[in-house]
Amino acid sequence: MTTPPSIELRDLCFAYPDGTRALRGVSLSVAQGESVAIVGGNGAGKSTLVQHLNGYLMATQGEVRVGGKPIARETVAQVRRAVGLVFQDPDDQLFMASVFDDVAFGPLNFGLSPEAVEKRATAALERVGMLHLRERPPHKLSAGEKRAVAIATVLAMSPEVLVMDEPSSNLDPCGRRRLIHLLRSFDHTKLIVSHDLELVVELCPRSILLDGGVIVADGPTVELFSNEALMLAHGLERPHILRHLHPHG
Amino acid sequence: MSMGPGNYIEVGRMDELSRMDSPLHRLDARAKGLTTLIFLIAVMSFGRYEVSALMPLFVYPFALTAWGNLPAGFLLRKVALAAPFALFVGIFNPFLDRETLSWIGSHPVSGGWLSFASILLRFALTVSAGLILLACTGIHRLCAGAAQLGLPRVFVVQLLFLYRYFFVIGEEGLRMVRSVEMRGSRSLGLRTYGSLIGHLLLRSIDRAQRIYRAMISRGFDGEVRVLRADAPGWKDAAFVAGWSAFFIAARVCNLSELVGNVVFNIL
Ligand SMILES: Nc1ncnc2c1ncn2[C@@H]1O[C@H](COP(=O)(O)OP(=O)(O)OP(=O)(O)O)[C@@H](O)[C@H]1O
Ligand SMILES: [Mg+2]
Repeated sequence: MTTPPSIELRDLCFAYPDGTRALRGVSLSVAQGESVAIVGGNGAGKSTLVQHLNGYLMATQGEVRVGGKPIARETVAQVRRAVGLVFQDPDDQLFMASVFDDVAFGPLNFGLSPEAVEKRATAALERVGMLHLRERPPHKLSAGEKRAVAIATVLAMSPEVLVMDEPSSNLDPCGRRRLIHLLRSFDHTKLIVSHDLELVVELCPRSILLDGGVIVADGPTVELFSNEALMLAHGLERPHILRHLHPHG
Repeated sequence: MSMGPGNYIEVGRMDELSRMDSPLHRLDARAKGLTTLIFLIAVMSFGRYEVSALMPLFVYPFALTAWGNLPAGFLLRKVALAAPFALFVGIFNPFLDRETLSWIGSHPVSGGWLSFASILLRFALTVSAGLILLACTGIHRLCAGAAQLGLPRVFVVQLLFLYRYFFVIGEEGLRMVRSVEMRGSRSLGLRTYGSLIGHLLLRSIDRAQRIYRAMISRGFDGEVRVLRADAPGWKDAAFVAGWSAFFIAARVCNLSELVGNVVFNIL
């Protein structure tokens, strides 16, 4: 028996209540343990797409399957436990009185013992290098600190699939480097939305290019990003890092 | 601290206070909640013209503020912020109820003024007691305690969200004030003002919804859980019993008159 794909979208369409059609038939499949990037210009529908992966948004048409099971009312709680989603805006993710309480919120809801919760939250904060902020109120952190803490809240839940919307925005070079190491050490399925194409080149062998709510390209990252005409046509550009790989390309 | 509009609302300060440590903070959430409830009932049960008998009850908020190391100025500002509400409720009494009920020296005092003063005092007492409870316990412990005492889960969750959304609206309002100030507007026309309020409402609903979803996606299922559950001890029991006895004494006999008489007799 073959394992089902970790994430599978079939002809996914979504329109916001105001009528904006953000996704117009997206189909894709991500295998267990694969690391895939979703790139595209502003308003391409990237955030809308990833918000379907833990039932945050529900498809207007089409189907979303996680671990082989379609997301439905009965499975959504299970899916949420399996898929860790880091939102584009960390302010949407942090709501407790202190950084530590915020990171502990998820594990606590899973019914772990206080010691286990404490351990998990501490470990997650350590991994993002923010343990020294544990007692601070989240709304008083800098943008990059908030981002790192938001990532920790998701890590603390030990998800099977990690989905991140713009994880490197607002991080300083050191924090960005730490993020890259961290993501590399996470060997489950990863889906990363990013405008940081150099980070994508480092982390994701495969990329999906989205524009106007449809997939315009899906393939090996290096191949996709080296196609200057394609990149420019969809509001992106070829990252510098690839110039060294293909000096005459 | 920056000098911005943030200083008016002090978003999140209550949360910070609740995370301090003091003997009062360490008491069981249920003990403090129960004592506050008894206090509120005692305050509300006084007759409508009662003024002097209410005075001794101020010992409670002052003692707790000191004991919990809470910033008195901050709490007073918060009470003052809500005072217009009490003024609005009581302001017509002096005009409606003109019958003389008491004398200050040779001045006649009408029932309307007495009940107005009584409303203000009760308001100050109840609001400060509520704020203190929140400041020394924190909303999550409080909600968890309420659930343990048997309050239905729906109400507990309502309470939690009401509190969260209150701050969300404050924060969103703050951001808008900032962006309006930044664009150099000094006074707002009525139309701009109207559209700002509408906008604020939409934004708050939107953000409240996103926070709710963020909680759901981290496994929130309607049960408020806290890391270290309160384990009540003899201190908690003594707290409830001691204060309750004081409230009942204050309710049954007019303590300020009593003290006044004693002092008068000694002189
Ligand atoms: N809450 C909303 N209501 C209505 N339309 C929305 C909403 N959120 C996004 N949209 C619209 O849906 C489309 C896709 O938006 P989405 O946020 O998915 O883009 P994105 O690819 O994540 O862009 P960015 O790179 O700027 O984050 C855009 O046209 C946007 O205007
Ligand atoms: Mg986006």
